[in-house]
Amino acid sequence: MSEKEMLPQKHVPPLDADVIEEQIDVGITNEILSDEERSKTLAEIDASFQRLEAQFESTPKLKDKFHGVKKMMKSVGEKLKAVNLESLGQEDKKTIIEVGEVVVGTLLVAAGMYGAIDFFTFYNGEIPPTFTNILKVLVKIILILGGLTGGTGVFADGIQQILSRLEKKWGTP
Amino acid sequence: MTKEELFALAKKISEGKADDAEKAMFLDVLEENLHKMDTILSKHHE
Repeated sequence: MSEKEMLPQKHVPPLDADVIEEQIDVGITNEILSDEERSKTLAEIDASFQRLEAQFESTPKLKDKFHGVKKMMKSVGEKLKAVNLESLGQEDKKTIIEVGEVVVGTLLVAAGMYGAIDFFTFYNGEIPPTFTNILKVLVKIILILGGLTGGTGVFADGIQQILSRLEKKWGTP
Repeated sequence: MTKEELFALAKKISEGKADDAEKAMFLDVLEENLHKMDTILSKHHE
């Protein structure tokens, strides 16, 4: 029996991308977290991203490369946003979800958000019935990460809101 | 590099234990994946 076959089957409830997007926006405009919670969360996540950026400042080459990746993320995110996700073929959707998981998940983990490991290995390469919604969430996160050129707290707060929301929706493996 | 190895490397980076070569490799993988996405999306823009 393969490793995949041994995984327990999970019921995956529909993911409401619109609610999540609203949640992100609300999180950014400081309407969900209390001032104290927000300050604490922002300080922690801000510090995580600052540490992550600092990790890639050991040489000018690495620094340039890191900023190049961020620019690419932003560009790809904008293209994803412009494409009608429903019109993508099954294989393309699968590929985008898989590579999106790798990009988003590993960057969050590298920033110290280890919970992302669970989220982004949850489906183990399978296309869930709600793939279009997941694509929308990935687009949003890619745009957020790609925009990390300053004022990271606002963006990181949005990411934290997504992760909290997804955790509530999907649970952990 | 498998997905598991990549996540392990990401964790290593977060802990400040990765060397420059590993960090560069991590960014290479991210770039490679972003290129894959870009290729698909460009196809749909044509």
